Amino acid sequence: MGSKDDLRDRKDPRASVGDERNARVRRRNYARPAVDIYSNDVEMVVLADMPGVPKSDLDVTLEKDELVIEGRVADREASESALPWGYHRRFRLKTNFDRDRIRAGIRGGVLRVVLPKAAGERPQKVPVD
Amino acid sequence: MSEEKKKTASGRGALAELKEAVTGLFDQVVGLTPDLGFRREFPKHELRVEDDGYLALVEIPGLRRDEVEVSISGRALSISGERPRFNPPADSQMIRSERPSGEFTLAIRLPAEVDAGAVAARVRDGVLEIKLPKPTAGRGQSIDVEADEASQPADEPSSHERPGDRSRMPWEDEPTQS
Repeated sequence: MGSKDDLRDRKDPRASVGDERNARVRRRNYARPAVDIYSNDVEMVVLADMPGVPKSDLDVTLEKDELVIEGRVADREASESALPWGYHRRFRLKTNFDRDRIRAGIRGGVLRVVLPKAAGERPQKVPVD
Repeated sequence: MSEEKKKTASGRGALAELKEAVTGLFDQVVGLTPDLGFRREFPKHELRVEDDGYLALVEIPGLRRDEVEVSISGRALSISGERPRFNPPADSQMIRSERPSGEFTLAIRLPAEVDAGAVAARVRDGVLEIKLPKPTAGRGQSIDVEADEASQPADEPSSHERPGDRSRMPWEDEPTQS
């Protein structure tokens, strides 16, 4: 499984004092999904393997300069499964994206996030006289 | 010197040789043939024991039911398939490439006999779920007298999961008379 470094110093916003231990257990059992990322002039696309996550249990959040993807797999925690109870990963965004047009979808356990590049980021042809 | 020449002239040949050597090693040790595309990670899977049998879960993100083959022969459950390598659209560059691809074969040894004819498989959100019910006692199953696991030839066809299939059930104990 991939490293969980990026989860370690993050506070789970849903955890209260009493839930702190539960939150830690939950994070330990969340996996970092493998991703393919490609880019072109108009957009960047992130594809992440999150098998077992349905649309209803998926959260894609755009924070100031980070894209956060998180998904939960039903039944895994309850059955104490050795398979991931969910997936979690953050990406630092260096490019300027058109935040209003970012869209995401999941099918067959594969998440696809499309980040259209902001107008200034797209290469513009310079007219030559 | 000639070794180096060999590498540059047919680097592919040398790599294929290495792959075969490693694969051969795996065959001897665990009887499975991994594709180097998946590296040492076969599809992650889990076998759960339930009241009425077993439930096998296999992670196959992006694959449909018809892209995976499930077969059972005695207590050997076999899952195989191929995940095509991802290619970005034209005029795009890959920035990161982590998702595995290639052929995979998974062999799961079941702890006990199951009703092979009643095995059912479906794919939900990229997870292959295989239900393997326990054999029901007293059901009129025909028993092949020569179906002793030890004496079965190596190329004996395995039964594929299809409802109504009469499968060979190597019995270790005497079946109880109903």
